[in-house]
Amino acid sequence: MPLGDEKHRLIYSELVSMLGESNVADGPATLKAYSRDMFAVSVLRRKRGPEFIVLPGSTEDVQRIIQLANRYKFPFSVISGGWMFPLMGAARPYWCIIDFKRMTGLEIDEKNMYAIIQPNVTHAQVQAEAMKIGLYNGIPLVGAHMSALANHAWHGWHGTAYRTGFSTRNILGMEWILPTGELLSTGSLAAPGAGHFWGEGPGPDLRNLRKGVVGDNGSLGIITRMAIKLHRWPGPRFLPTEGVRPQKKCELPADRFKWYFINYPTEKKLIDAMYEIGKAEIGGNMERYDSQRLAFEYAKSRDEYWGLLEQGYWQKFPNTIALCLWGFTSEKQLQYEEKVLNQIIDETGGELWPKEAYEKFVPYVANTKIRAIWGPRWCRNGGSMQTGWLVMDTLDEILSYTPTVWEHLRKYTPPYLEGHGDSAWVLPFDFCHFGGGDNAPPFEKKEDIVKAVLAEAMEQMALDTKNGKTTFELATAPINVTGPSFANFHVPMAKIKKAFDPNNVSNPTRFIDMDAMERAEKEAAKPS
Amino acid sequence: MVTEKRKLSLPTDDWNRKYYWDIRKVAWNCARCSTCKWVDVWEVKDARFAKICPSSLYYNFDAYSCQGRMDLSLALIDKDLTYDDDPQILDIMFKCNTCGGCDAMCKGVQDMEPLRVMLEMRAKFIEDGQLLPQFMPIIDNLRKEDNMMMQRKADRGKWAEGLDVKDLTTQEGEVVFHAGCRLCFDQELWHVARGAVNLLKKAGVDVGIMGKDETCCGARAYQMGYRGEFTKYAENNIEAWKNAKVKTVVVSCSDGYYAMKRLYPELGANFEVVHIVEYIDRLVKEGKLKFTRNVPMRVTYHDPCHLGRRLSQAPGYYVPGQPIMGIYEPPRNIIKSIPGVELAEMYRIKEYSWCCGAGGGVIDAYPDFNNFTATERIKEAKDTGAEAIVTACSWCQRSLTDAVTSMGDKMKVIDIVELIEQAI
Repeated sequence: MPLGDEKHRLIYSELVSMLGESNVADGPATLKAYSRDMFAVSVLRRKRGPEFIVLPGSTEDVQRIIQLANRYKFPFSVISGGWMFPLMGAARPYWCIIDFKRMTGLEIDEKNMYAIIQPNVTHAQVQAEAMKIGLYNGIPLVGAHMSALANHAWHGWHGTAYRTGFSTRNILGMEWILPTGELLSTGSLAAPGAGHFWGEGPGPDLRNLRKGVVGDNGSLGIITRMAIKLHRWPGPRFLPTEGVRPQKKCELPADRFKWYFINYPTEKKLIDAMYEIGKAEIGGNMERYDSQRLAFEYAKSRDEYWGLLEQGYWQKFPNTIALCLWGFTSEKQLQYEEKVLNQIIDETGGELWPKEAYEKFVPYVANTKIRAIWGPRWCRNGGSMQTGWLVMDTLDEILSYTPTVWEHLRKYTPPYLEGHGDSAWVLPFDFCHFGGGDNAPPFEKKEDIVKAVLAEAMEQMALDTKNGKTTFELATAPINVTGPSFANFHVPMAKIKKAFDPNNVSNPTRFIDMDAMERAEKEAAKPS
Repeated sequence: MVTEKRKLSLPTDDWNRKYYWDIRKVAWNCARCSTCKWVDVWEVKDARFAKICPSSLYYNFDAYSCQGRMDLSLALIDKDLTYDDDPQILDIMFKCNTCGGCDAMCKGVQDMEPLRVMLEMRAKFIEDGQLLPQFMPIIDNLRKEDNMMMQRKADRGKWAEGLDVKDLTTQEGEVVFHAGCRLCFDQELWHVARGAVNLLKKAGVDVGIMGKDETCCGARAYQMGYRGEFTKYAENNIEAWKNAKVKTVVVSCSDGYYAMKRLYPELGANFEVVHIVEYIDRLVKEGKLKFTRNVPMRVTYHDPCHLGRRLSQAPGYYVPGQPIMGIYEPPRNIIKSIPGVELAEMYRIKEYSWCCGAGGGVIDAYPDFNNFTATERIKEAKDTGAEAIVTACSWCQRSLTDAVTSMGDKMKVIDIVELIEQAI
């Protein structure tokens, strides 16, 4: 709630004079819309909200807002789609959320195969324009209705990352407003007139400073424009769908796309096969399904989901590789890849799904997933609240996390999931050189349950961290908490944060909580 | 500690199985996934026309989206906010066309009916005396003159003057054509109502009208939250039709169609309710209407929300997993069967249709927002290269026509009845 004190009024009037009254809000009814999302942290803290929402229309507007934040020492964070809101949510007085709804610029450089985007351009919008000219920007896990820029800068797990690379590798020139309000251009954009075509430099590659595994949550400033790579799209201008949602059917051109659903007797064999497929560099997108995920992607309602699990239909395929071969260059490429894949299936002991299951799943689920993995639907089974343990590691390692995670999760999931749902979804990146894994069971969105699940998640994460595992629960601890278990990497990161953000105004509680760190340092310095 | 946690067991209610309606549950369970703001991602065909929610596109702040209204509703239900806390509360709740785009999207992802929450909240606002000033004169006029058009009741039948049609206030008849407030009082659109009656008669339908004794259907009052007024007019119409021994009600306004089809049965109505496009589609299929004249025209078709996706949003009509059904094919069947007419579809059609901007009282309370929404639709229509946008609702026609005028454009906005008349 706005404090309504003199400082609040002063900031408000400055923001209004900068952006106009229609682009600044501090009314409690408007602020309520920026107080939470689906994740445990914000469910529990939804009563805490920002004091200002602003709608900048340009990079210059963003610079001015940040300069004002430095002058009056108020914290700010950003929002586009709002999916990962707890990472950006207000945690201190005078908090200002910068909402990018007015920054919707999208340009495509067809010849050089990249798109230049502002923060409020969704993946689906980029796809729509790119597909018209035979290009494509990937399958975002989060759902293609989320900001393509934010997705590349933060999470960026794409179904197509198997072939097109983890999202960091798809970032080209960026326009980055530092926490002090200065404009920094990266990659080729730093050279006057060179354009956006290259991502690295000048000097050290700054992309990974912003990106890493899951970004910096805007704590090192704001990216207002980014160029992202586009890749070849061998499909039609528009996805050919028919029917009325949610009963949509989609048939992709058979001469350019072919799905394979291959079940393995064990997870180990499945991962081995994934490695072989990666080594052969075939396919456009690949993921591992467990039976629970098959059921909820296939189901068109929550009731159908539980019904399917009770029937046990999808449990026949507990270790499935879903691989779509794309004839990027020609039909012949597809034919060649099919031959290679069939050989791998033979050698690795895989078994193709029966025709009936294939025909149930491909036109109604798999083909529409070519444009989005459709994250939001995962909330449905748990009454909209979902939390997951995410892992990023080698493919074998991802599965080694599963048993301990499920030991915790089982307490909060209905009993009929036991025995056939205890596994992880696996998304390989970079031809299986590494990948991401997720356990996303349903939880009821009730405060006591959410509280307990979150506590368990923290416990689990602390344990994993101690054991040197790179697991993380969405929207949890800043690195000053996890850093001590990873060679104190929070110490150099704190120095970087201090250099970039001397007033600690750029999303000050996430990525790294400098205040908490300083308090801890002081505490440690006290004579015992 | 661990033992304590293990005491929690699921399910604690039926959250994980059968759907049930509960206003707070829906508001609380909103995941803030933002699906409500956009067309289904695999159906986004153009970056410029990718949104589904006019309110969130026009006002930008998330408060003016379905998600924001779930937050506001929850805050009011839980008393985190009171009406006095923010003068914007009324605007946030009422700056919405109730087009149901959000609702159609949310259903497919979260098994929820958020528009129903918004409509219930509007009704609660009215019950609590939180009245939108812009609505007051309209509702006052409705109470006095039985129409939503700020017009005199005595003029209601003028549209039908000279029309050779049965008067069901004095005679009995199986089929009644309910013209609705917009067609009765918007003189520029009288020809649509007259055309509809003529087409029915030409096909041999024994159709009648209520003339000056016709009253408002109550649909718009329902959308505005005035449930009492809705019930009064619904009961009045039901009674009048029963007295005239009516079996089938034909309407050419989508608001009225929705109300009669989905809401009247709750009040005991038992009539066949048919939109004029359904009826004509049926007559064409039966060979009772034939399109003989060539109409060389490239047209696009605008799906009215209440003739489309809204039909799956009504108390008792939503079944999770079922398609967001609407009257999508009959108008397209008709257009495609007219010789010479070429149908060029817009990017957002059927359940993804972009609203005309009129619904929910927006045409009366927020003309700038209404005009913005309609202008967006006209721009999308122009992208198809069509020379005319065809629709099947008088409110849509008015809204889109005004947008074309304000744009200084030449695109024709025509009701499907007008198109059919040219072909016969």
